[in-house]
Amino acid sequence: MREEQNKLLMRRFFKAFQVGDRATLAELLAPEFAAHLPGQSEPMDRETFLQQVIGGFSAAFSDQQYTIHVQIAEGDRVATLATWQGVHTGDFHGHPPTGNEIALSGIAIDLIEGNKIVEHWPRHDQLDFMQQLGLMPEPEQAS
Amino acid sequence: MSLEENKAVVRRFYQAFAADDHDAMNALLAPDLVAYSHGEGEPQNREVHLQGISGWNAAFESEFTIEEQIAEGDSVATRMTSRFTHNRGGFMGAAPTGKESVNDSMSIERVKDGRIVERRAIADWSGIMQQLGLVPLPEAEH
Repeated sequence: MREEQNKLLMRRFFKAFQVGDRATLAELLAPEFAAHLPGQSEPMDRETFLQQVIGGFSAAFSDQQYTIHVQIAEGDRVATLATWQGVHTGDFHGHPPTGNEIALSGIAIDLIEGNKIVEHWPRHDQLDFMQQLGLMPEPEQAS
Repeated sequence: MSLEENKAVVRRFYQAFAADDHDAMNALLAPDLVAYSHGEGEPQNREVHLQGISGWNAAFESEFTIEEQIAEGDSVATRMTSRFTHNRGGFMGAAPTGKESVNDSMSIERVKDGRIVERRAIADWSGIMQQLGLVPLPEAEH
């Protein structure tokens, strides 16, 4: 069944992401792959994604782990709800390591054609991420 | 309920949210709703969730354009363009500015017998707050 194959492919993607396995990712991402990242008006191409996102996360975070909570597949699309965890042990886009353990939930929607990912829409709460990295003030607790 | 009916329930919820239509939201959200506004973490019950939406709607005009929906079993994933305008009232001490944010956000809902029993919403709150000119950052309401 195509949906189950697509879910399996997305689990391979997140597994390769967490260990920075660019060879596997290069195999899973279509040449015309486009990542639609928050705050960016233009999609990111495959090479840039591998270098900046995968390379950037591998350099900045150790012990990365994705825990997949839910996968929803219909036709050629898969939605994944997952929690990403990592330890900030390296430089992250100019931000020196804090040693912070970070946990972040997000949803990704992926379009899969010919057994490869062609569109990737990851969403997480960037505010929460920056707060955990110590780059933003923590919110006041609601009274 | 079919997958298409479940998708329609979620679309109606976003319409009711934008219209601040509490009768419709009460009809669409199950009494035992569990809502996670940041994906995981401490869940909200229906009353607290609706209070959060009321608080948001008192400050902001919201418009949700559904871009795509993916359904399987009782679950629906929705990707939408969310447009918020700070034109209604104050927010955490900040007077309305008329500023607008346009962002892509997502949610996953579980639908049972035509009502949402669980929802998890994910948005880039730093981008939204920056576009609305509400940084340095007040508490994000949901």
